[in-house]
Amino acid sequence: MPECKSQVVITGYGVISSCGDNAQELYNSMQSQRSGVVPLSCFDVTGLPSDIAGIVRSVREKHQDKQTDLPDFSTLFAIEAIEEALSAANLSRHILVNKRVALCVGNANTGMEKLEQGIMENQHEGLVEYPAHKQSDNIAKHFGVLGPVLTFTSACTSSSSALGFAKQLLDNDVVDIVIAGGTDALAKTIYAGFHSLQSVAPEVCSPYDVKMGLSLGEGAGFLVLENYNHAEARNQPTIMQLAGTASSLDAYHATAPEPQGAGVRRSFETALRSSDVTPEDLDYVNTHGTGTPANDGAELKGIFAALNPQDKTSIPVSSSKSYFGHTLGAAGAIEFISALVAIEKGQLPSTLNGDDIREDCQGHHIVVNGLIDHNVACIGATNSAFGGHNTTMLARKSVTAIPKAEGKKVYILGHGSIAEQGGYSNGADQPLLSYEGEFALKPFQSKLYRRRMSTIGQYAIGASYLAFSGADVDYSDAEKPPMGAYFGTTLGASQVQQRNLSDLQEYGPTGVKSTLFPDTVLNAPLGNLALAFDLKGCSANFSDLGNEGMHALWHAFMDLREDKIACALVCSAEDKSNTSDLVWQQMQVAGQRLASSANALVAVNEQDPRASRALAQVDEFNAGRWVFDEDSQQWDCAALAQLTDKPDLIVLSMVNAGQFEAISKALQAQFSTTQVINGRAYKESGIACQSLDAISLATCALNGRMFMGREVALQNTSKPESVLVMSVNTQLSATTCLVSTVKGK
Amino acid sequence: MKDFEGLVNQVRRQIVISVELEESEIAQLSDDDDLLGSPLFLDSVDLLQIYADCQRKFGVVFNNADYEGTHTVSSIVTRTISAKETKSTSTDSAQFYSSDGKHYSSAEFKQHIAHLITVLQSAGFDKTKPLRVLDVDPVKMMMVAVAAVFSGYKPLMSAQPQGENAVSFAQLLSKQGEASSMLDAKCIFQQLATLPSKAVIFFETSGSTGVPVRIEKSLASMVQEVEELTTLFDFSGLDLIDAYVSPVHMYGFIWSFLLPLKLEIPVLYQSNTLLRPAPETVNHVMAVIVPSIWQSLSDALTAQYCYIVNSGGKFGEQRDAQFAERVQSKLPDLQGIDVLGSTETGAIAYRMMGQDHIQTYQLLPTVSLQPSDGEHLIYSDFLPLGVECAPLDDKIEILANNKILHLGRKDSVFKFKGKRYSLKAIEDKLSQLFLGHALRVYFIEQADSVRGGELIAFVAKESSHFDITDEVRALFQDLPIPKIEFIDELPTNAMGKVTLQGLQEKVRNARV
Repeated sequence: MPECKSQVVITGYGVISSCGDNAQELYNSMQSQRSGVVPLSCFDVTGLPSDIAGIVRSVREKHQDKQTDLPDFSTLFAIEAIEEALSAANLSRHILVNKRVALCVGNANTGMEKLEQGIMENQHEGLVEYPAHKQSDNIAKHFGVLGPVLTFTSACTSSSSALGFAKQLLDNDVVDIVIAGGTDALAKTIYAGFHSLQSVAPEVCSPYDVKMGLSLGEGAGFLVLENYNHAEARNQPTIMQLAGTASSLDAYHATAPEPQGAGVRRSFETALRSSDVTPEDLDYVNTHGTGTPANDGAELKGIFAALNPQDKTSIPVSSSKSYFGHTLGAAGAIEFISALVAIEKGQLPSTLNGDDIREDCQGHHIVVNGLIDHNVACIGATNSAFGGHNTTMLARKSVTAIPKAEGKKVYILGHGSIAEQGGYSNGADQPLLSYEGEFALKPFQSKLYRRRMSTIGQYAIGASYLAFSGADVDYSDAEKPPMGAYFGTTLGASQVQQRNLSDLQEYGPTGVKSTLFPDTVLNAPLGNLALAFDLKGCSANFSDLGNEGMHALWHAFMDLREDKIACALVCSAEDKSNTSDLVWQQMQVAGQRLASSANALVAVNEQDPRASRALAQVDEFNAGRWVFDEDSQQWDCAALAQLTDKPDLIVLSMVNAGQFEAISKALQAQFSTTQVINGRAYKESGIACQSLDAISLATCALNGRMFMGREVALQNTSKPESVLVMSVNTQLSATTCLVSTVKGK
Repeated sequence: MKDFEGLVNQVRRQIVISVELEESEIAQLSDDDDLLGSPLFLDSVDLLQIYADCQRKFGVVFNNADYEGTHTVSSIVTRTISAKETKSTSTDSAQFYSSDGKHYSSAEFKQHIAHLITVLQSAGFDKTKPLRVLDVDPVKMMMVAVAAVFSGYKPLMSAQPQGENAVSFAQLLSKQGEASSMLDAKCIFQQLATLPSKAVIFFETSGSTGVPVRIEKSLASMVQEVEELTTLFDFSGLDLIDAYVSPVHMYGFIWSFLLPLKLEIPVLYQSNTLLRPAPETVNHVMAVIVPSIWQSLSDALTAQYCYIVNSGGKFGEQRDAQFAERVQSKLPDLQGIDVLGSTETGAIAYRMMGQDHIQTYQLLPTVSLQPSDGEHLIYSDFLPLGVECAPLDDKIEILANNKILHLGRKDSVFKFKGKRYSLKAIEDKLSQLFLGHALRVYFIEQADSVRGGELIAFVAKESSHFDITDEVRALFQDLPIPKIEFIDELPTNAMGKVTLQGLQEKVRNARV
């Protein structure tokens, strides 16, 4: 068995927040106990009981006048932070050109200000900057990144998820360098939404204190990650080793955490199990600590249930949110960086403005009111999000080769979809259900339906139910090990977002509803899935402009290979609204693709006894942008560079049908005798669903079965043994997945 | 009753709209069913929306207590009626703006005090001991303090959030009690002014030796101090006190609480982490500050500000020059009052910032200073309870026309190994040794120490090793060499003061 080791190290970081434009300014702020949370002036919040937030004044003031001509502020924040991170890691663009580079971006708020301006001020052309992945694409283009570009959108765990996946990309030698972190710009809708939940503190937040409530913020934080050998070869000093990462779902509530912190505990335990870090090694934990009544106590319970130290005060904890507020999609990365800047000075970050620790947080060593001197060798960091998503990161100063078992084989067990007025699963060639207009879950599976469930949530649950049925998996088994859940969506619940904006426009910030706002986060349907099917294992949420479903499967594949979970649900979904139509019109996506739909896969690894009845094996993934080389007059895609075996069949699915012929030709040039079939010839997939549809199509082709009631037309082979699935998004970024027949079946 | 039933129907209709219920669902709900339980099993976000929509629909404002307990159609109706009544009885605008963003009208302030009085009467706290007020929020702190005084307790104002015989606003509010009739229609200031002389408030200071010191002040003396200030200065045009000093301190209690009560104008309590601008609707504002606030406030000063009051530490020459510049350049109507005094002495004298010489103060009319054995004794009505006169810890010269020249803190003499030494002499030597670095020297008396106590110095300097070399010994000659603690900066408390307690805490934290 080949020896596998993990040695992912951090070699640089950059940060921009209300506490300054770089890491040094952040440290200065932390040292002087200065909070960047101040009265808001960048948008009108009249009528709300609070008017403070941590705003990145420098960038906002510099660009406010010409903001309509620029990308969303989240793109601008990210560029500043990445410039600093690359500089710290001694990586020039000249060096990057010759490396395999990936970009992993966490983002929660999307380009929300662009959506507000587009809908409320009729600035429709700016809507192209609204989708979350557009921020990542802007950033990738700015830095010339041609490798995988992935957008993580699990709300407040977005950037910590991005960092976790970055480690997995490096562990699996997919790339040489990953730029990973998160960025978010605050917008009126978000600010009003948190007020509707009565979560916002009237003054600078003080997590763990009797003064309740959170402060909102914005900014970006990015880290440069690479394998230790790679850093050593270029004489780059390491800052810390990213020794373990993990995630979990609460399956408890849309916004509130599970009160005993069970989800946080599961995530922390999985992170410890996937690394060689022990609870005794930990010198400090940087917590999510929002300041809200529900979060802080539950989180501490979860962390210390996982660590179970004899003396709870032996491990200091603090939340960094008093400094720069809750930066949502950027929170995990910025807070992790705040710990790094303090640790590099031999200190620990603190919670500010602490007068009186609240009752359910007592008995811990909470660092309050100023940095403390503390030698640190190993730290943990936790984050939690709407939808009940939790993440954990473990890092330490000394670098060790963490042994890893050989990757487990991963299989697809079943798939289902709801689209085109019908519901399908792998078990049947004919539709299992039909509907007029839009799919409604309640008549189909009333037990899975909950009041006010968004359309996208209903589609996702319906498709997942069909996938479970096709896979013959009993999701209701209370004894089942935690099952993973991975979700992809481009715009999320656009119908809910449309109503949300309508309330904002009609009634002002006080009109935003607590019943709608939680459903506007892009991972809300993932939370719906977790609740419906009691999914509590590892998890991630992706947004792209066509490849998100495959990114969700990619993450599930990594976690299944590492045996963090044995079974996973992977789902992608989208809904149709006037708002989404406007966005896609601006992005020049063909009108016939705009419909509500969802699809889902059930995947297992070889540890799961049900693997014996798998439909297909998942072998490898990659991603990269298609680029036309003017000199050679050829299209080239970095995603194909590492493909070792020639596939028997290629399934190509592209959002922009107009370029199908050119890309298809480029593929045929590389794989001369391999048939390329157009995924869209079998199903008029939407944007979010196209990539998982292509995987399902490939699975049907491997098994000689019909897809969506249509026979798969094969030319050179009656039954292919391997299929390369390529999904290409609106920006011509491709994600590939090689699936094959199950060996020995 | 008819109104109640009408409101029930309206609330039921609103619930259907707010959480998008079907008619068949609301039909199953009785008025006393828990909305979070059967038959609806609503969610917490549903409840928030119902309350938000009811607030908008019925034009009322719910308070935090309304979100606690069980939620039924009946309870929402009851809360709506109660909120409507509160609204009608509190037609006056907010009088107390808390640092946590909440605000209270004069009527609400009185209502709360009335409730607290009833609860305190049967609460069973020890009236012979100081009653520690646990609240940090200035408005809640004052409501508890006033209720305690009216109930015959001796409230203790302290920055220490724990101790025996302690009480908080939330603790009292959670207990049942009918509103007391002890508060009549008169303004609270008048009622405080008529309390007997034994009505007192304790203020706890950090103490120069690190041990907190309690100072007992009679309400009558503090009320009299306010009366004297309002006679001396024309505050009649003011319409807001912008308070940067909490009433947990005696200076704050007088200027940030009693004064606005007396003037019947609103007070805006600032938090120590977030400075909020005064509302644009007010035109004549007085800011109550300590010197450390000046830097952040000076740039934010607008033409609304008529007065700046400083105490708790010397305003200083540099700040005074900046103040004069602000007045000259853009705020010609701004006046600054620099008050000399302490919790132990009450107000002694004042000088007008930017006008008077930096060391020259005018004694308050009812304060006199008498020389005695090389020092000065203060005779004043503002001294602690039962103290007729007290020694002044500052070096002064008495000038003509009731003016004094303030020459700084008086040197302290301590007894170490049986000999007397000057703390100033030690400080001078250390200043030579650590040129340019801020430092403080303390002698902490210890009864069980053969030396009589510990001599300790805190030096604001990057961590450094201190060796007692021959050179150091030569410098100190016959003086004792203190133990040196290096810290990155000298910490200040909320009053902007460097205290032994703060320094010791900083050293302890650095060692964790």
